[in-house]
Amino acid sequence: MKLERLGVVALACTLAACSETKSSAPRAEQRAGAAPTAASREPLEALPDVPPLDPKIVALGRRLFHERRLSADGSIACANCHDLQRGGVDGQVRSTGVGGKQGAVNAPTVYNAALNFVQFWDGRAATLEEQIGFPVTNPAEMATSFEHVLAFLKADPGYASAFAAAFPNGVTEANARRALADFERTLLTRDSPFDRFLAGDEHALAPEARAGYETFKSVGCVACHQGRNVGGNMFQRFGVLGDYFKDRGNVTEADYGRFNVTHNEADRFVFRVPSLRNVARTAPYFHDGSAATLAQAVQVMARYQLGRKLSDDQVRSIIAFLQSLSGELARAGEKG
Amino acid sequence: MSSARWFTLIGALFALACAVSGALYFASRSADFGAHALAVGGIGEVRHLDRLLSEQVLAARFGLSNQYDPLTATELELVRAEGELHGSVGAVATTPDVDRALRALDRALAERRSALEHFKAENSVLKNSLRYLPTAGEEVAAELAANGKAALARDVNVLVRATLVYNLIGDQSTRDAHFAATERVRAERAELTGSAASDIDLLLAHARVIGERLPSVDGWLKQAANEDLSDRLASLENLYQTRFSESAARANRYRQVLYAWSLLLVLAVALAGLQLKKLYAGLERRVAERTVELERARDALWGEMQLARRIQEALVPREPQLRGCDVAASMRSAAQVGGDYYDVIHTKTHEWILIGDVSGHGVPAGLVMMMCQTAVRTALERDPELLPDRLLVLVNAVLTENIRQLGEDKYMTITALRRDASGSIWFAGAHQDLFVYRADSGVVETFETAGLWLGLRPDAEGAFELRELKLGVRDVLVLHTDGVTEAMRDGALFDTTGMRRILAGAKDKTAGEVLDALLHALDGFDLDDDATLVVIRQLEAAPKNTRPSTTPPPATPRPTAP
Repeated sequence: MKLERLGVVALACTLAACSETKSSAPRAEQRAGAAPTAASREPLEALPDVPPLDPKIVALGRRLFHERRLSADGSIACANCHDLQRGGVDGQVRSTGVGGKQGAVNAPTVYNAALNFVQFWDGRAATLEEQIGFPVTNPAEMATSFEHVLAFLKADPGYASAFAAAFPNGVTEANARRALADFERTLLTRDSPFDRFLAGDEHALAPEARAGYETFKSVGCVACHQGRNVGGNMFQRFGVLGDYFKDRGNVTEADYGRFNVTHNEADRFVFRVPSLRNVARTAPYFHDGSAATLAQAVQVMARYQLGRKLSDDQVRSIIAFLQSLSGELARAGEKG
Repeated sequence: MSSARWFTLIGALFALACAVSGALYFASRSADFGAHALAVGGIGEVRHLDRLLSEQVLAARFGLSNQYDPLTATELELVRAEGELHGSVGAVATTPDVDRALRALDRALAERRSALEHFKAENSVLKNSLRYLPTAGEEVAAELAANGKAALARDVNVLVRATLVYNLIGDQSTRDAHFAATERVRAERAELTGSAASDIDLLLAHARVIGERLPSVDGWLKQAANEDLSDRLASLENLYQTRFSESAARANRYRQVLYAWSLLLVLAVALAGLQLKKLYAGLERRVAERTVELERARDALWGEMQLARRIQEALVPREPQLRGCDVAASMRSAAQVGGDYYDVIHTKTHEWILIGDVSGHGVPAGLVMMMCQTAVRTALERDPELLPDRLLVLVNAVLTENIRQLGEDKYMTITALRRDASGSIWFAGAHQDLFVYRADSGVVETFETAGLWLGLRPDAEGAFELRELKLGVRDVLVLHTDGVTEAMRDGALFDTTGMRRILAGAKDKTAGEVLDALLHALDGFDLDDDATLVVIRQLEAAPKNTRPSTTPPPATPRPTAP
């Protein structure tokens, strides 16, 4: 399709793009890959169901997720930094790994991570299975190797039998990755007030939260934080309408973001847009953990990403909306 | 050519035919239509996703879609489908040019994905500024108008309109108008201070974003929705179809060759069948000839066997008799005539009973038996008073020499018994045990025999021990050859146990009845050798005053319970 042929379409649609979004009516869930329709105009969608998974593999993944003995000194499990009782994070600016070493960036939540289009702040892993290898071998995290991990799993009768029950070929690196990834695929926090609102429950959102949703769309947050995961489906430069890093100072290599993966100058200071689901539980915020509260985070985003000033009322209502994105943690991980 | 060579040649040709057929079969299978369908389907899927992705990129750019989830999902589907294409295309066409086309497709997809990510980021920023600019312009213009700066307020509105029109049209004149309006507001802003100045700065920042990002977004859009991937895919498809057509044509050629080869094989098999038929006829003829030869050989052998049997039958007494005794004898011949020998000889003063067995079978054994019989009779003719041990020494000397001359490796077991007028029985020579049923006690006694086998060495002086046994009235003496005790049924020997058991019931039986009982018991047993039985029943007491000319020591019987 040639660009020129879309001139008429462009004229018609630009007006829509320039106008503030008004509607918040629930929308039919859009099928992935389907052609865009009128029903897809809503920028946010409810969380999908957990896909059908083998319960034995999921149970094994849950066990591995909490297994400290996978780390070099037996002190760090995945769950240390991704505490499932605390929103899938540890509440620290930077997490502590083996030997007290500090990570380079703030630990992202594992909840709903399966819906992110890439993993990590810099998007260096395309899949959950690929992602799992990084913390295992990172010297500032679990500081071990898959040789060590596999040797431990094979020597442990409980794990050896659990792997044999879940996989025809027993303990392998691919199977360990698959088990952990499948467990993470069950960590979807459904039934948030906002999801219930999208499903048609007009009373699920408090008036302030509903107003916050409108503000969230109208001031432009939704330009990046959109889709079923309210983010997590694109990259964006941190500091579009202001130089965040110059103002913050003390720039580190980790601040280069996507550049560290592609070495493309256009990708310097570019990060995966984080999901805002459960954001009220995952302070501190940003890759550097520099925002301790949601209010600080919203104001930084307004200044450096949106290039606009937000009133206190707008900030409060946006925060109320963000709080409505907190889903059911206890039920996440039960299915599968 | 010999039949073995024919068979080897036919086997080798068969193996060669199998190898050629297999090679032709696999060559004709090179066009795998199932894999081809997968490859074509894969190409079609990539093309569909490529188009869908282009549509979704355009929809995202022009506001038909307010989120990137569908775009991202299609992108990931495209990556999957393109990855699978390597396998499905590679399964059919593995030529270097197809590999190069696949790698070119990889690069096009990677470039497209990179452009897509930049487009998504830039498009979001552009949309944010486009969304905010009218609102900010309205607020700033209202504030300026309220503060008596109507001209600047008007220029702000002009800037907003010029920017929106630039976004709509995007040509050089609207771009120039946008930048001219921006410069006008920027110049007038210099005279302002305070919040009004910062508000205009913010407005100008968004105007700048739109001015800079619009070409940038459309640049990334062109890359993200361009036809490079589609062109690469078309090149790959053309190349693939060409290679597949070549492959299919080649496979068809091989298939035709395979058909021709199959016809050839059918002819070859038919020819081979005819040749085999000839060979078979030749073989049948040779088998018939060999059969005739074998029958002749068998008949010759049979004649020999008949001769051996006649020798044996001619030499054994037909109705042996002993004074004062009831005598019965039987010789059952095995399929192959053995060398059993027994004889009853009457001299002027004594009666002789001899029993023996020549080693081996057939005519040689029969000859040895005949020699033995002749030697015995000659020796007794010349000296009727011989004792059994002496008789055997003489017979052994003759027999050993004759066997040596025959060149046969033969020997013979024999026991010679001399019955005197007094009733004493003197015996010597190694053969089977003698069994005596004692009528007054019902006990069966066993007399072992010992001594040198005849034919082993010429000088047998001192090799035979003379022993004596006496028969009371109604006592029964049984002599036998090993064919009796070695008769077998179901893996068990008839053995001496069987004989003693029959003999124990001999109390009121005649010699014939005892013999019949023994033969009846042998029914059902397999005889591998001749089986000879001689039963002697003492009927009357011997006169007590008669003595033998020499008086050897009496033998000590070994009584056994019945």
